[in-house]
Amino acid sequence: MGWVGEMAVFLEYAHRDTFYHRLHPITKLVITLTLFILAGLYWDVRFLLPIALIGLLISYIAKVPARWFLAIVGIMVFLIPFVIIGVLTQVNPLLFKVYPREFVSREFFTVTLPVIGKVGVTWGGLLWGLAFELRIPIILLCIYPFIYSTSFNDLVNALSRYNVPYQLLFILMVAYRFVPVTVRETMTIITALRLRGWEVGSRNPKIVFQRFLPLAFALVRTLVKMIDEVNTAARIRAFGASKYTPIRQLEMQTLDRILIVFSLTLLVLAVYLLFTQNMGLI
Amino acid sequence: MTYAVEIRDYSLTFLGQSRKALKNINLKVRAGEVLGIVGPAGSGKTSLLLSLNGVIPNDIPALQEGSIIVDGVNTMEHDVAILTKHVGVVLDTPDTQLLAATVYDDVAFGPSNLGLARDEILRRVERALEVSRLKGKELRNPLQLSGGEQQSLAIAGILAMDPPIIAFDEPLSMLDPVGKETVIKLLKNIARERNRTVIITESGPDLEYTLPFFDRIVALRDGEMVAEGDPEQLVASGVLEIIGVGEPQVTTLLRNLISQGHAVRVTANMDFAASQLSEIVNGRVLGSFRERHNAGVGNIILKMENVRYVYPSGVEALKGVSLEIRDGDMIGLVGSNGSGKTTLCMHAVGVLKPTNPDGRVLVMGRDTKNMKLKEITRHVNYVYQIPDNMLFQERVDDEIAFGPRMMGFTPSETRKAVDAMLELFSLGDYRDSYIMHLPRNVKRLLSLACIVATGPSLLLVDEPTTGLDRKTSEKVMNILEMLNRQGVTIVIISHNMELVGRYCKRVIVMDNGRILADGPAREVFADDEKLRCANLRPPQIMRLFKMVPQLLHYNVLSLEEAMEVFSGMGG
Repeated sequence: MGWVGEMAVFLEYAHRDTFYHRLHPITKLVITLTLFILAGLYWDVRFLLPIALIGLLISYIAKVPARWFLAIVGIMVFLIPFVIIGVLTQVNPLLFKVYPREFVSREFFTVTLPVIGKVGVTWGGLLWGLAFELRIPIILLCIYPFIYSTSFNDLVNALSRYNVPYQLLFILMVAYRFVPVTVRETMTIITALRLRGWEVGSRNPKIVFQRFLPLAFALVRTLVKMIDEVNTAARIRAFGASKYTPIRQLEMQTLDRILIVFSLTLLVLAVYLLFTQNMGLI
Repeated sequence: MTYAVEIRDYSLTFLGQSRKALKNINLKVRAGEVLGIVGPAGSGKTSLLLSLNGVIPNDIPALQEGSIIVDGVNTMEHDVAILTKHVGVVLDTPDTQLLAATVYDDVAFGPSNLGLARDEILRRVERALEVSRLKGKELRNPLQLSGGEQQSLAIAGILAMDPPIIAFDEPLSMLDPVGKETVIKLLKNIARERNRTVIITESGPDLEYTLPFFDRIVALRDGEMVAEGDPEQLVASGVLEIIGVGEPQVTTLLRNLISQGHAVRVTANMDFAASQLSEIVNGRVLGSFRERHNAGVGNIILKMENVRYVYPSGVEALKGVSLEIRDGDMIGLVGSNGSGKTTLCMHAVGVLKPTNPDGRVLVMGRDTKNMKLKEITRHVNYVYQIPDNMLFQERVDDEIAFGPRMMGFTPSETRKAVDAMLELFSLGDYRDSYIMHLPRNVKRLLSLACIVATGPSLLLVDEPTTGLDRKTSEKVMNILEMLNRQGVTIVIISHNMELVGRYCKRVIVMDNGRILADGPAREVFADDEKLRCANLRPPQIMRLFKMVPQLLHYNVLSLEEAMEVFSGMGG
């Protein structure tokens, strides 16, 4: 197991004694889903940034390792080409519901490209691009504290009290195992590829695609095998044989209830205002 | 008499295959018995185990004939979930069986699924943690435990479910020598406790540890039972050698002595063997062996200077390692699980770089910090322990060609490399085969071929023979030996001391991130104290000789050397 096991301490639960770890799993699930849904619905940076700040604050409280955020930086860099395309094409003022059309169609700057000619970046395009660039990282920022602070067993303990069907719990279990194992396996496979001289080494999309095929092939094969193995391992341990008995009596505290009510109220209100007042849209 | 397991006329054919995986198995296992199922890779051991708990055919579709009754329950009439209450199975890859985020939760997972009362679950978990010696590690992440600890955890998880029958699929294969001893002690406790029935499969490398433990052995080959009976009798009959599992060194030595006319009895028991040897050599002049191992004296290929490495998790895996590897060396790199062997190899190939500024790794005189990985791997390369981790293509020939193509070989050079590797590793018949369908031993040969095809001067091979039967193990080692004679420097990472003793000229012992010993194999293995510190043991043949006062000073490394001592024996 050795070096890969040590390197890939990413997207895995770690037992810590933080305020956020001590919250009930359902509370954390509700908070995460609230932020997740809002980050998915909002397009206005003025609304996305507070969500990002909340995510950062929760991550700080939960003591999420700083190196996890390197992945967010990586994703933001990866998204840049798509953002640029979007920024250059999101120029139709009719796409914008909130900001005045005169504003969104005003040019931020123009540039002359070979062959294509003059291309303008509008304020509308820029706002769209910023939102696109920020949303996925913000979603990750909201999910990190949940993964880091919530053990699978505690989550199953909590959900089984509400009679969630075991098949759904199994899917959850595979997903929980899936994510950190996928990270580990991807790193192992990439290292093994590099040891055979593999490198991307080209900006030609066709070559890049061809170069990534072995990785994709090996990863898919590994993940299919992993799902089989998790299934067998779970069945050998009688998963689904009987009603699950939680070993920890995770009781909801007053604070848990307050946070759940607050989160759900915020979510309902935000969604209502979004659909009725276009709040959060651009 | 109560039978815990009754298998009657049991045959098994996997869907889509014409060949039967198991053929007319008839077997009864008494309650409280410790049964060994011994056979080479592909003989059907794991299939038999997975038939006991219903994984076959419920999760792995197969056609079954006959019947299997475990703990009074017909397996063909019940689902896996029900059968888990009667029989627990621990597979040979522990990390795939670890499901929870902490050790405690993982052990609790099984009993929590059985609908037991909470207090009963907690009692069972505590007991299982104690028996498995995992107390104090309850909050650890299972995936960050050492191999031995993971195996103990997998066992604890099944133990906590308290089935009357527990089956273990090659439980020692991934462990270092002391880990093997620890798990065997654990298995003994399990067997004696509450008169539990224990079934263990074994493909050969760990017979030294498991044979004394078995009440009875069943030998399988190609899905058929070829022998059954008392372990000593079966060993003496030579059936283990015939089916391809091999024998402990002590057994083969005695057999060879019989063929030389000595009046000894074949046994796997070290004490009995030592007393017989003592009688043979008493008052006799003994021969000597030819010193056949010479350490490499050529140019330095790899040099490490004060290398330290700290993982992001904070674990310091290397604590100031310095070494030199020269042209022509064949080195055994040994150490307990978690001692830093693989981390050291990752530094050698340039995947990892020292975390201390004054640490250096030099390949052909150049600092790896200033080299691209592709440059390093032209000289130094690494073969993973698990072949699946390094197979990316669909077909065998494409897989071998992958490395040379990526390294910039011309099409004609690539073709030549592929043909050469197919011949060297006897993979010609598999040229067009799909890798997914290859058996384990062929995948192992293929994984070696893929790296050798790129032409490195220094080859690091991680556990080259784990999970392989005797025949394939010998083939792999003979190829590595041949490559070494042709000028390739080889480093073998292994827990198999017999293999290291036989083939390696030099041994490096690692312990807790440091090099504890580094020198000629004979000297290193003779240092009992250092080996003990590193949780290792010398090869069985050396230990046997040390039990006989007249043979104490020989420090033989292999069977061949031992036979030379006896062959030269005079009056």
